[in-house]
Amino acid sequence: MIEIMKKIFSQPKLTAVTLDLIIPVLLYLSLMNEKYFAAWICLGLIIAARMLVAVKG
Amino acid sequence: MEINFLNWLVSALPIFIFLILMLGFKWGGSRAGALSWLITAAIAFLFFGANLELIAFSYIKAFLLSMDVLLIIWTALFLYILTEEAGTVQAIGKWLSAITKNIAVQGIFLGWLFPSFLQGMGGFGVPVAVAAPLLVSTGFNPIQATVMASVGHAWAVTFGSMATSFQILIAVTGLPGEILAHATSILTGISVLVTGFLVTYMADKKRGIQSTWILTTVLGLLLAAGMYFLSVRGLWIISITVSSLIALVVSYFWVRITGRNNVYTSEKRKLSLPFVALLPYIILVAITLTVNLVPGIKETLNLFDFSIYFPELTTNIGDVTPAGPGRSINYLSHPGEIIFLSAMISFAIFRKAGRLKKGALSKIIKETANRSLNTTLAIFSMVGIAVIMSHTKMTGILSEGISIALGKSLFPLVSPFIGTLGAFITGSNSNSNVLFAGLQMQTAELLGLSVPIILAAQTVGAGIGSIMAPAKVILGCATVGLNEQEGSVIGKILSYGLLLVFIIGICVLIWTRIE
Repeated sequence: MIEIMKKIFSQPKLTAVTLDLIIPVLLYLSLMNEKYFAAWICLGLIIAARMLVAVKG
Repeated sequence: MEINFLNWLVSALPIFIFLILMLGFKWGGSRAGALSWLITAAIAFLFFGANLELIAFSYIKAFLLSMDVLLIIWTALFLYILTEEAGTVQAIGKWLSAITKNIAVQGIFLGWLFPSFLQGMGGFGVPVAVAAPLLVSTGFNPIQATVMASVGHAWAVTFGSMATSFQILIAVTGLPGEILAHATSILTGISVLVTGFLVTYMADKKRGIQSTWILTTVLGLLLAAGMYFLSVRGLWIISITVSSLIALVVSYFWVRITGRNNVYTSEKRKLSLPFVALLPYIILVAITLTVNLVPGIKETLNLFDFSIYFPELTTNIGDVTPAGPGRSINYLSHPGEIIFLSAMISFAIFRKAGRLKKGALSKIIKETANRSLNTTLAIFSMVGIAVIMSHTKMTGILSEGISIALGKSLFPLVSPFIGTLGAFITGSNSNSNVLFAGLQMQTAELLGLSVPIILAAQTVGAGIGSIMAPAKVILGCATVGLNEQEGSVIGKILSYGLLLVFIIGICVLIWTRIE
């Protein structure tokens, strides 16, 4: 777990792009099936990834 | 929402913040885009009644729009790195620099046609990085070489990189490409003639223009006609590559025929270009033409498309975006698919010819991933900003403000400068189109101006602006060893570039008056 977190923080852009490619599909499926809790988690992940890129560059 | 200065200012805040981060804080597009997306979402939430559902669906819509463009960017970059790895780009450059000793004609070959050809295939700063050192090797000073290669391909940016920026324009505005291609090709045609004369002037001042004006005019008209012919028929992804290749071939024979007894050739050399160097481009053109012109192929491939449906979205203050399908992606006839197929065939041929070493494919894939990472992230963020702004009517407020301030008589002149500003700061024609195409379109509608002409002004202005962007100038300077002299290069590029944008602005002004 610590290793994964280290990789995420050391390569924020790669993490953000990976999430940008996966999350839209999950987010769409969650919203269309009215699973709002899952949808807000997806949105939260994207916001976190963008914040990471903005802070770490 | 009511239009007043405060609302206009808040609507403009995402763009201002993005520009300040890039220009003031010198952040890259990916980092500035990420923070600007967060700020845009916050502004939309706090001031324009956006809810979480609207932001989430905007994000998904932006993903589809981005993928449409990224498929081209990734595959075009893959093809370019493949040709670089096989040494074909270098072979073409060396061959061109050996054709003539006349400096104005060398300027035409290496400062105008060759960078334009490279821009048609790849772009991403490559035209200057490859052409400027070749110009230096033929005797031009490094500043002159960088400025010539930069200005020389300014016209080719909009339809360059397999028409990525133009594809973004289509995606963001939702207008058919064939309609936008007409006006864009005409303005680009004007731009190509002017850049040709600017390059010959930079190469040898007045003498350069006097000795090559017939050649420059013939080539300019040929480039403009070829690009127009292909673009309005939906073949915009190859319009720059094909027209530049034709112009290169014509200029080669022109020099060979006229060169025996006059100024064009000072020494006789045996010139040969390995056929294999041109193969990737020939394959790409052949596949594109087959798919687009042989009846039945495109129609059959277009049956395989991907589109998803979006519900009606309403902000908390009552602005409505109607329900409907998002961006449809024809995944078998998509330009990215065609480029990828060309690249794989070229790869197989290069391997067979021994031009690529073992393990080259994984190296090319890694290099493509590395070089496209920042662009990918920037595109996702920037398109996301544009979609949130349009769904919360921020773009509409901005457009209405501009139309009130400038009026119908002045806006056409300013329109290409807006595109230029966006590209100068973001370093990209595509980013400028994402930022400003919606705004330009709505302003044109409000003022009763022709939307395709104004959008053409936006993207052509942005194309010119992208060659002035500090990041690209720095890259060009680095390839010819111009450290710490970027300021003087930017100054020269700005003066030529702004002259070009002004000429485009005047043409747009006249065109919208008579339309």
